[in-house]
Amino acid sequence: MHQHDVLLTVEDLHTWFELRRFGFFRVGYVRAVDGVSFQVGRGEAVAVVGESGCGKSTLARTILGLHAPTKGRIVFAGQPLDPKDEAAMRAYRAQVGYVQQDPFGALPPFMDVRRILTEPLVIHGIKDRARREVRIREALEDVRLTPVEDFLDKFPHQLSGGQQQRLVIARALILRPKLIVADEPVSMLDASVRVEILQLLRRLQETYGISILYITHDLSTVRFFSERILVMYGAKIVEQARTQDLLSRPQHPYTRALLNAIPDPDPDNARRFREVPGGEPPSLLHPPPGCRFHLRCPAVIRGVCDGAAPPDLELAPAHKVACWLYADHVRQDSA
Amino acid sequence: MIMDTNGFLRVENLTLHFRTMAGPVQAVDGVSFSLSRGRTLVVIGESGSGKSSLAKAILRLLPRNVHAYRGRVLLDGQDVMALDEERFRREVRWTRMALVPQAAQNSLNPVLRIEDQVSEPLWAHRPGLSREAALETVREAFRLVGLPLDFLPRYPFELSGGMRQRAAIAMALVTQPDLLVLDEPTSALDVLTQANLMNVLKRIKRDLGTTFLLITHDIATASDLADEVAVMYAGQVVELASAERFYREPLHPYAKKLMASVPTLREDKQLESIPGRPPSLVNPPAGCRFADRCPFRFHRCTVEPPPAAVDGRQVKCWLYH
Repeated sequence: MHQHDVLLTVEDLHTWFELRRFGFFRVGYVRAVDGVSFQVGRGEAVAVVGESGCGKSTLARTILGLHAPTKGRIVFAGQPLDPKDEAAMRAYRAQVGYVQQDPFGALPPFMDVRRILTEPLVIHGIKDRARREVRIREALEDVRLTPVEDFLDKFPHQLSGGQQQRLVIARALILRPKLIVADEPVSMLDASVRVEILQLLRRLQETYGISILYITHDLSTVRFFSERILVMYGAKIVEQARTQDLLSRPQHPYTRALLNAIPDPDPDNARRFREVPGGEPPSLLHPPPGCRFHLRCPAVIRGVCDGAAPPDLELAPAHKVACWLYADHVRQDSA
Repeated sequence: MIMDTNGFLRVENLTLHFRTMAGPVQAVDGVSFSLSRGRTLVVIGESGSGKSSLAKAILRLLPRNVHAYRGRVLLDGQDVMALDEERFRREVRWTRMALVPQAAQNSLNPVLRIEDQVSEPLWAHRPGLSREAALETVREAFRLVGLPLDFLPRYPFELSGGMRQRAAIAMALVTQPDLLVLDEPTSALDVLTQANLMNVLKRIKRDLGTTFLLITHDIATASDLADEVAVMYAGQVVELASAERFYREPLHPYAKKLMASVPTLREDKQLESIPGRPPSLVNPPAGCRFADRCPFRFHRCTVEPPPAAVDGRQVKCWLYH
């Protein structure tokens, strides 16, 4: 990736939540995001894949400016973000759209479609009524809520789940953002609607050159949707690569386990057991030392993996893995 | 019928309508199937297709606004729907068939210890059983679902979602029912936990020969357990076939479309969505309920409901007549 192609750079990002007892004594930190670095190019769709509690939603919310990072920085279009600079943050938010997981919960029930879409335009200072109306129509056409007249006066509860999610996407698009952060945009939808929403996001990405950060637990949709995948486990990124490379040559034992665990519809599945590690994801309050996956890892090297955190190793161009198995001195030792 | 007529579980023309402000909702409308002992039927459907209502209708766990409840449910030849409520509770529910409810990991009572909760069906159904004997049965169920025995005296909040789900399955197993109805057992769980749990269910099926009725919206995960597949749409079973035949080639246009919408990890394919939305179950269309979304629709589809049997499998579609 050339430097001028980069839209978003996340550097050593940490988001920790303080845990207090009796509202007074600090008892520790929940390390929801713990040293995450990556880049998103202009017009690129990048997926963050991980299980619940791995910190992927906190990562999304930190990038959206909803949490202040504890440490590290976010650079957007060449400008480092400063959460204390209100005006700059407001300008930043106009360039970043947010598509939430639960469309019904994300839409105000007492506002009709027109008002829902007017709100961001007003907040970001588009005073001309006619211009706002044009933008609203364009956005509704972009998400195929057409004929537009039929939808303008409807309330969220009058729309189906798929239509609600289209409206959420229209709202995210209305200020013509450069980046859309989509946090599990289809996990609440039925299978038949899921595809249509993902295809819609994909088309918008291509038409307007929008970058998309797609947060999900579902690797099988990622394959149809993103150019690159970041795999998150225990608040860290354990592997990142181009989609095809990651799916055909997964390196981190966790990525392999994840791929192994996902079934394709196939009647032969009923005749075999799936090899998956047992156990639970680590506590983010007291994360284990060393690699966070070592307690469940089938390839664990005692004395190495439970010592220091594994470094990020670049195995192939754009394919990075945080795993001791691939460190040179470890490989030589075990050879 | 495709499966033998003396199946272990036979459901004939089961109908469950709910009374609502808008009129009766036909949540389950004329569902028939037959399932042999030790086999697993997976009921696939999208939200609102009536699959959970079907589970409730079979276990007779009905809400108060029932408008119509008819048909026959035969368990090992006995018409259990003809039993009165007290006999059904005593002799059938949780002794011969048990339920793992939807979001079971949140269905546990937070103030009861796991051991007391899991053994509760035993107190209710085996009066006079000693505490020690009951606990031994619970321990056995724990081993079966892969729960460590030191979880016995803990409270639900001390267990993770996957472990609570296992406890709920253990609770359904303690009375050794012949039929286990699982309503979306894995949908709230993580990928790895889900795969582990499917392994547990496979092991139970292999070792105990339990008959499963698995209700789910997840077609890919369903294939982990399925012997037979029923696809529900708008309150009706539109296709019923062996898993082998169904996954290789679904016949009903809705089932075809649904299959085409499932993203796959290992196979390249063009994903498709299904335009439109399911019909209202208050005033369902007169003909085929899928007709107005169906690309193969012809005149007959919109006027007359299609009959159900084709060549050893049920397909409710005029294309095959």
